Amino acid sequence: MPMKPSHSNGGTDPKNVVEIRDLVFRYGQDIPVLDIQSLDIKKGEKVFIYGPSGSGKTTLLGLLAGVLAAKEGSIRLLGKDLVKMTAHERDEFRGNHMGYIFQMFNLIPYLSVLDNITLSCELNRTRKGRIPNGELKKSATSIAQELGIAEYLDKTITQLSVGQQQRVAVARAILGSPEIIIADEPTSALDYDHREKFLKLLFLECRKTQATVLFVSHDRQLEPLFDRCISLKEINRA
Amino acid sequence: MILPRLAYHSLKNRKFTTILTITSIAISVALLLGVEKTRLGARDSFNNTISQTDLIIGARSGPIQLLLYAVFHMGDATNNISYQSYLHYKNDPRVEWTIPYSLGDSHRGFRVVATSEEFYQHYHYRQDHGLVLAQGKAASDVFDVVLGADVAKQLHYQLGQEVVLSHGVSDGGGLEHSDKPFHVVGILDKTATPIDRSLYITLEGMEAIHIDWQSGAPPLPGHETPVEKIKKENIKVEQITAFLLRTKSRIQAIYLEREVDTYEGEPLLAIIPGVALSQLWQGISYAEDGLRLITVFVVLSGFLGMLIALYTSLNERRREMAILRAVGAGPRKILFLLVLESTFLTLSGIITGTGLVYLLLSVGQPIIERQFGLYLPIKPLSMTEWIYLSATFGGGTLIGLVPAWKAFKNALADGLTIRV
Ligand SMILES: Nc1ncnc2c1ncn2[C@@H]1O[C@H](COP(=O)(O)OP(=O)(O)O)[C@@H](O)[C@H]1O
Ligand SMILES: [Mg+2]
Repeated sequence: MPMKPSHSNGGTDPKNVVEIRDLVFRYGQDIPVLDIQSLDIKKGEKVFIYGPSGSGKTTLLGLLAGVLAAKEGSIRLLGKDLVKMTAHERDEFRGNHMGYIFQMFNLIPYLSVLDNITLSCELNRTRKGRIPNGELKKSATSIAQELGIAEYLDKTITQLSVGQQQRVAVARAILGSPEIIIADEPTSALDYDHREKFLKLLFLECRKTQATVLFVSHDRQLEPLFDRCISLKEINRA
Repeated sequence: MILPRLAYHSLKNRKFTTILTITSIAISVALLLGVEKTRLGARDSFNNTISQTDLIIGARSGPIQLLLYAVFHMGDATNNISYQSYLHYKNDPRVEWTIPYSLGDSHRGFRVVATSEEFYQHYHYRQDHGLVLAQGKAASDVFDVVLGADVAKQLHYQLGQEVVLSHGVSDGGGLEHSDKPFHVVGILDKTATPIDRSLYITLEGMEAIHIDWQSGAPPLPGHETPVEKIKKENIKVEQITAFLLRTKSRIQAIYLEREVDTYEGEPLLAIIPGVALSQLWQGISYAEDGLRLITVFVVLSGFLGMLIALYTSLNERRREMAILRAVGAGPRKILFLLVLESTFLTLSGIITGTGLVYLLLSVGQPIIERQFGLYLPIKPLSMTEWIYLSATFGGGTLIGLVPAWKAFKNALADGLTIRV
């Protein structure tokens, strides 16, 4: 699903990559964890979302990634409403349009570094289609070069430090130019120097593909590096 | 396709359990095929205990009884038949050859079969295998004896050895024909049939050892006819126990069978060995079903091993699943991945097990034949065996659905949550 200017979703701003309206989410029958009236994020924005542990950051990202299904409200990504999609469509959408970076343990232990990087494209045809035929390895290698991990491509992941592993995760998230990069506290396992370096690399890559970055953390230290900063507590009415 | 590659690498990553699982499936498959091949081999060996013989003819009794004493040299004949009747059929123009048998004596537990030289020429087993003398020559003189392969081996007899036969067939305690010893003139090659477990003398030899006997009692000491006085030409064979018959054309066997059954000279019985053998086999083949049932359970336990291996791995693989989900794999792809793994394990097990059977067969065939008298032909997989393998494959895939379903549920519940 390549990005198209939206004419079919009347009233919404085509510049918005993320558009949340009246979203209510609860786990099972419990009280809502999230209740967000409105959240808009523009194309290419680097957004920092903070909140203490347990405030629902991961839940929000799960909803945006389409792994969790919301029943109330709408979550429009690139003009498509996740709430109206089937689970399968959401999986496909995530694979093709998003890069996801976890806090840690981002890599499949039994695949080489290169295979870990190309996994997102191997699993999603549309995403792979954005890379010229037969150049997947070449693209992966050039991204790895920029991230300073090119020499590890054939290694197994156990030979990498945590920082290197996170950079592999960035490479995988960015390969195939997805429009949205979602990062769930990806720097919490790194020390401050490495955090900043990591973020700068991430931003550098995202600028090339004009990807929008959603970054959540409980730690506001990195806030100044972002275009915009949102407190989850403030937008969440639950 | 990325998923098969993932499945392969994931299994490779758990090399030890993967190899164990494949081994346990391979062993059960090997057992399944092994039992089937042994069963077929046993049945074939059994049905081919004798071949190229169209009819076995003896005094009227039960067909199984006739089969037992004429082919397996077991049990007793109730009656003899006259040599006259034998000659009647031997000289019939439709008959190609006959082999006369006269039974009743033994040597250290092995039966003694008195026969003619036609036996060495015409007797066949397992389609076209004829008798071969490993050493020496066929018995032709009155006191010549030829040994079956097992007899020679177990008793450590050599050519020239003196052999004293016992009257009757009970092992030990019988009266010995010690006044008329025989000499080993030949030893037969191994046939893996009852042939190996008997001794062969001439019809005249059989008459000779009983020459002085009066109504079932041995001669008094000192009243025996000396061996030197017994000449083959002077011995007249009066009776035999049974004979094997080969017709010139198979169709005639049917007619001859009917004729024998209504023979006017004396009550006779003719049996077609193939028919009687398979009847007898059916009677004892219930053991096969038990054996097959056991192998089914062995296969099931092989699957259980796979189930345990895959199922217990799932917990430690949750973060792997979360990563796969993050890069766009739906729960269905996770399910498919696990099914691929179990399929791969089952298939590898089947291939390894089948290979193992053929390997063992090619190595063990001569040993099995020597040790158990069981000839196991190395043949491509039969229809039944293909069905067994397909069923195993289907079963393995089906059982693989259990951990796959569990992974599917995990994937739904965990989403992107990484559990460490
Ligand atoms: N799978 C789940 N089932 C039920 N409750 C959950 C589940 N995951 C998270 N929660 C609850 O939702 C709330 C928000 O959790 P989470 O989104 O993980 O917060 P954060 O990422 O900000 O630490 C917490 O109270 C947590 O207990
Ligand atoms: Mg969290």
